[in-house]
Amino acid sequence: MIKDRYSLKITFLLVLFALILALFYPHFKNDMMQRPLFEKLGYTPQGKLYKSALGEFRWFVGSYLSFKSIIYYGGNIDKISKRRFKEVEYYNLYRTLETSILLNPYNEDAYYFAQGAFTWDIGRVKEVNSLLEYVFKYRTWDFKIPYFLGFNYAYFLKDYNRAAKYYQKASELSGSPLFTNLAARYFYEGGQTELGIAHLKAMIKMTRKENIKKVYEKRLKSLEAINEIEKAIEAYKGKYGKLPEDINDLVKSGFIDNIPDDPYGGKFYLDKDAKVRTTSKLTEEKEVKKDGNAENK
Amino acid sequence: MEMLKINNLHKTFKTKGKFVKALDGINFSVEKGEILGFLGPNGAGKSTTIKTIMDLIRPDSGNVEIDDVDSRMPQARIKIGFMPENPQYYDTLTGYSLLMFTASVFGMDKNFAIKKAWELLEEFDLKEAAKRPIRNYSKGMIQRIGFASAIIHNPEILILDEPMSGLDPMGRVLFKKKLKELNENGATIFFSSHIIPDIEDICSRVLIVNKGRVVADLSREEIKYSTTSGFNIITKSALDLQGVNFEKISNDLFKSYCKKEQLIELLEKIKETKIEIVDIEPVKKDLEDIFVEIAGKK
Amino acid sequence: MKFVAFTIKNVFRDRIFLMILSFVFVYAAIPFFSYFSMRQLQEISITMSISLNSFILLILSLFGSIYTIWRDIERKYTFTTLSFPVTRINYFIGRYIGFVSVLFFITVINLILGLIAIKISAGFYKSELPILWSNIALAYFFSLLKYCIVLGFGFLFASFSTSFFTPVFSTIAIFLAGNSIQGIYEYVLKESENSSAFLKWVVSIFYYILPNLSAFDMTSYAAYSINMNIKSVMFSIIYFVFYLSIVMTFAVLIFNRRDLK
Repeated sequence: MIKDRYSLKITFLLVLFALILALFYPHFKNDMMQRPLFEKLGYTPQGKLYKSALGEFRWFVGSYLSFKSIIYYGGNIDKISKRRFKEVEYYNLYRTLETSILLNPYNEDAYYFAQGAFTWDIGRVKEVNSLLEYVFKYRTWDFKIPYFLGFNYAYFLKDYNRAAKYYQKASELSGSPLFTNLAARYFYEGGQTELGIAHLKAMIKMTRKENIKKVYEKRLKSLEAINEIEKAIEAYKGKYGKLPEDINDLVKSGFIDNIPDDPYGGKFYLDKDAKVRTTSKLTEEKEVKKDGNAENK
Repeated sequence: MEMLKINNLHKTFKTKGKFVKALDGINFSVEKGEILGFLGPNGAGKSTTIKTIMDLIRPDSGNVEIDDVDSRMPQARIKIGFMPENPQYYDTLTGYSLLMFTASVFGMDKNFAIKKAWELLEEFDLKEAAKRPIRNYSKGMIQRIGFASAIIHNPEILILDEPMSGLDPMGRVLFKKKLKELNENGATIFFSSHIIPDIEDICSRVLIVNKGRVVADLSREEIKYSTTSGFNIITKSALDLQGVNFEKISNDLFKSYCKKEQLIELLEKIKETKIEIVDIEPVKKDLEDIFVEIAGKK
Repeated sequence: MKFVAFTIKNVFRDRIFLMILSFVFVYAAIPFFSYFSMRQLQEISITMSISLNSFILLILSLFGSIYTIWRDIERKYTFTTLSFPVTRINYFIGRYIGFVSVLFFITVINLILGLIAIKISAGFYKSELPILWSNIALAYFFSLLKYCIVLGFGFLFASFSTSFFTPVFSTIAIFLAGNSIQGIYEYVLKESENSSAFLKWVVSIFYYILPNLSAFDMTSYAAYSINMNIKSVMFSIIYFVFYLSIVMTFAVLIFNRRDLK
């Protein structure tokens, strides 16, 4: 019948296409499963649903959220350099950044910023490490991630085995022996402060944003001051065979010209084990507990 | 020769769970060279029939043949010029580009189409508006450009759905004239209307439809007769006749009404008095009354 | 194929369309916006360029069916267009291809603008990643494919719907579902061992029926210069061809039976 000639043809085509697609689909499915977009993660932050709903716009939203974080941080830089951390919404900042990383794990800003903002000042080293490990599944070429991880494990968590592993990876990826050297220096000479100095110098080199650079520079200055005092203590010990009782002993015995200023406004002194301390309490934050969380100051 | 054959169309629409029977076995054909009027009240199934001819609506049963080709085949429409009821055209198109688009779809030669388009624009008094978008046209202008677009490819069959709605009296006169002219040049014309005078002036044959069926097939003379209820006779002075009222309509003119059966009788009487007859005009029935009458006859 | 040219011509004359098209000026903002980034100007600008193109195509493809099929029926334009000696299939496919050509044209413009924006942004700060221009172009191309499918769904819904909302919102729903189905499928089937067999079954059914739009998301390949697997690219294209064919034949089938009152 003429009436259904077109409909019949179209129906036939429809069935044909459906059949071909059905045959093709299993192969397609396997291929889809292998794409890096859907790499599995052990870490399950909140934003999963968010990620599904946004579709491909997640890349953009992810980047946008990390901008937001950076801009917020930049706006509070004054409070941060005065160490008034309670006035900064660190928790919200962390969640925003976490979502941003989940949406766009390739985003370099986000993990870079997390490393800068959450380790030194508030000691959330463990969280930062899990973010870094997550990002590292995606940015497999990026030596900075294992470098950061290695530093965090060594400097903050004192987990030298893991630190060595990550430094090793960073060296492999970057093709530069710098990181193994750093690690070696740390392990054999125990120069924790020097490790911090080397790390900060590297960070300053990598940083583009001026105000964030300043945060690093300030910290670098304080570490350099501590380093100077520590060296003087070593020299004192070498000569007299005992630790100095007071910080002014170092000046009196000529190992140091004068006690440097604490850039955070405190005064350096020595405790009973001759560890360098300051009245600005800067040094306390190094005493991160083994669980990775410092007490809130 | 039958240009258009409508064979026993049935169509039931389902709207909001209700079934509405739009076509109930409609059957007719259009002969080559005639002007066939399709008369019926609103909702009689005129538009549904026309849309079925144009393959816009698919019938539940029955079929349509256009010059022996089934209307489901697109090539059946090559011979047709069609204007829908209250036509709507893409607002981004200009009058000229509408004509050119139609011409190109019908595969007309471009140069010939340009010439023809300007002729039609000139004829329908749309020359100034030719390059303006159709969205700025008045209703009458849209009707005219729609008609021009329906005839640009010189169709053998012209199918028009309520072509004269939206035209002013002057427009109607011109339109009827144009239809006659096209018919004289060989076009078969089939058009619908619910207004009697529009149809009886030019149609050679009239179909009356109601409730999805053809209820009467009348020649032009028959339609004229059956739609006339009586006559108004205008005379120079009143006269005293039994059963006839003369009404003064101006200083020296009087009007009287008689039923159509009584016309001869009345004229005889007037003749005897030698009063001058100025005019005799037929008085038309309402369409509704005609349906009652036709239904009564059956 | 008269309707292809007809569609293209008329779309470009339309005010609403031109309004949507004016979004391309946002490309000028990309270098500024990416400047906020600390170290990823290049990557951000690529992501933003692709997303902007996607966004414009998304809006256009959501309204594409409204703009053509739905409006033609609603305003009774079809009474004229379908009274021509053409098949409905010809009209329907012509309208579709016409609109796809418009999308293609816009994608090309966006690609050119995007490349300029990326070049400028990348000039501010040297990224350690190379810019793979071919990946970027391919990402744009896959966005186009994706929105061809979205547009096809719009046409499908418009082929039977009489209301304005059905095509638009159904298409949005399909778009969202199509974007997330891959993630949901993997989540339900692999990660959550305790999800019920029934849920897995339902999700698998949807996985096969819904368009897998994740297959066309190549943003990460472009922005982070990851090498594309030729096989994956081919698979996505084959999937596109057959999936779209099914959607369109289904739409034509419905449209061909419809009464245009």
